[in-house]
Amino acid sequence: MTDSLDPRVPVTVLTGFLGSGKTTLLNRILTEQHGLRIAVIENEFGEVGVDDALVLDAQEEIFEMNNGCICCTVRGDLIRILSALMRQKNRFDRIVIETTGLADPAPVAQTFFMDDELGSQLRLDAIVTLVDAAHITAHLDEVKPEGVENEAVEQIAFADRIVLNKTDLVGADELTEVTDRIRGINAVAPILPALQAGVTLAEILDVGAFDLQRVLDFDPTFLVETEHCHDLSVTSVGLEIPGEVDVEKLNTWLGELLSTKGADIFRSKGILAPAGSATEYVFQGVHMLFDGAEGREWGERERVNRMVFIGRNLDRDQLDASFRACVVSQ
Amino acid sequence: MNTATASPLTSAATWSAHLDDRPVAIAVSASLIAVLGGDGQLLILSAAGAILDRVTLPVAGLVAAWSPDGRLLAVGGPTGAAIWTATNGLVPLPGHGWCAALAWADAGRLAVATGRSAHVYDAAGATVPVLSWQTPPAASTVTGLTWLRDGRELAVAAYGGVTCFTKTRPKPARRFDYTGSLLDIAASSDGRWLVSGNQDASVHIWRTRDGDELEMSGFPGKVSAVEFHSAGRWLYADGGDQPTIWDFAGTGPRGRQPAMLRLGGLVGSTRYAWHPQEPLVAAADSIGEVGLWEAPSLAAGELNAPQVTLVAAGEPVTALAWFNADALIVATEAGDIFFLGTSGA
Repeated sequence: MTDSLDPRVPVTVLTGFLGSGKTTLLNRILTEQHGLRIAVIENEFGEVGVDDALVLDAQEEIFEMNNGCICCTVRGDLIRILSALMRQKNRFDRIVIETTGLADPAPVAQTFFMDDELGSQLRLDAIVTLVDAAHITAHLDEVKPEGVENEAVEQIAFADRIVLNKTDLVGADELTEVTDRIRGINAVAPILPALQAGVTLAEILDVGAFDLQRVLDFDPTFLVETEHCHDLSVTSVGLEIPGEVDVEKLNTWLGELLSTKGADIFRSKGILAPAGSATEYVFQGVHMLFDGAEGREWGERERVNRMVFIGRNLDRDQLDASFRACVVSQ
Repeated sequence: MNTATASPLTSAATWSAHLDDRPVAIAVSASLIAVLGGDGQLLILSAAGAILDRVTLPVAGLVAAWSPDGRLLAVGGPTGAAIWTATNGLVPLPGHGWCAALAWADAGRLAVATGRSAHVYDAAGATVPVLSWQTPPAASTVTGLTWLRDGRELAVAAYGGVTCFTKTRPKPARRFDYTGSLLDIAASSDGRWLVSGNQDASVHIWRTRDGDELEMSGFPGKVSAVEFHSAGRWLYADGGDQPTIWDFAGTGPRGRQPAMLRLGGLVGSTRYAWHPQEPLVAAADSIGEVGLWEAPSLAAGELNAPQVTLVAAGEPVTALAWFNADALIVATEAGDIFFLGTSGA
């Protein structure tokens, strides 16, 4: 569980294709005996209906900000609905936003970065993507016209938790194959196998995936495991370099990287050892929106810089070389 | 011009009442006070503080406005709007959709934001308004409405700009584009100026005659409320926690700096109210202070402390309204409603 001192209401974003089990999972979330007041914002007319929960319909309204930056698109419908929820007397303990199978998760996540009023009262907790084990491969392989995103790939790339649902519909080999395929796109998010969306709610709700203090809260062994999927255009690149970084050089590089490649970089996370600082610097980004803070004290630990990028057409060697150029030798 | 600084308003409430909800809007007629809560509780009070009715809107409450003749109260919420009257209580209007904006014109015409459209009802002489016409869908949910040309033209704000419609023609009469998310609009009483407050922390101003535009960006946060004083010269615009007053005298605000209002705590969008006659604005903050500022004596480009500070509530104020010309109604987060009358009353 995350820091209980944070009074902000956690918001879970639930993505996944029609038929992946979102409605089943929502009903599980709503009916389990947890004593929480939950508000659900849904895009699709599901069969969700529980007496105690507030269910609101949202029609996707994607707003570009006036600066013309495609990465700064937000969901106007969510700003409107969440603002109204925050003005209610009886606050909710949790908010779950269900997106359509075809929705781009980026504007949903960016909404929480771009609206200060919401950001002060709500915190994006995690993007949870449901995947139908039997059909995901076909969705991932679907060839889209030039310039059109494959939503299934995007939803996996953006995820903080991936519920691999309907595992009973595939054999053991196929399950391994599907798992590897998902790993190739997103090497960071834990994969939770499930039957009828039966996951432990603590594994997907209030997990603090966007909590800067929990950035890179994952098993670093993935860093060496991702190479075998180089044929995919959307991949994860993990970098780990010992030493301390020159903050100015790093800022210049990251600033340039995110402004030129931001549209291709879905998620980024990192823990850094800035030269001359006794504490970690932790950051994470969604496209070119970026959030950073001081982390823990380094103490006696060896100074190591770790970064992860999940995105399209990532050049690992180039990222690695640029990152290394920012490291000052000890 | 009266020196309203000498306002005999008192910090001691003449009466108080309670709403079992978090107040989001206060609407006043000449004799009645309506307080709407975020959960949808609606309280109708007399000028003396007697509770006349207590009803609940479905889902939630967003906005409330009395008809100019004070007979009908329109209220809006996420699933639509309703009309409250003393005789019929709360009667829902037929349109279904998000309603966060209402605009009455004289002669009983009511514009209601209904999802992506605006519905216009005719309420003249009737207790149940009748749907008269509606606008084609906008690019997003309608966020602001205001009448122009004595109620003959309706300006509708949504993502991408303001579109103006008249009853007789289905095509837009005029269009004022802006690539961004508009949160509220206001028109000066003479119809010369149209102003939007925007999600991107800017205020956009159009001269309606020729569409000449002006923009002020760089507010600390989104501008979710803009409102002209009834005489039209002064504009209130919130912007994050920094409310401003703009002077539209003469050729307009171009080249002028707005005056900034300073209070002790944070100021939000619904916690302000123009005096019905004087160019006097009241604003309240998150620590329960209510300040009064006379627009003509504000220093442009500077932070202006209130000319009068009333310590009303001691807890965050979430809605504020003038009652006639001589009392303020202050509602707090906890649902306490205070009527601050004149000391001689």
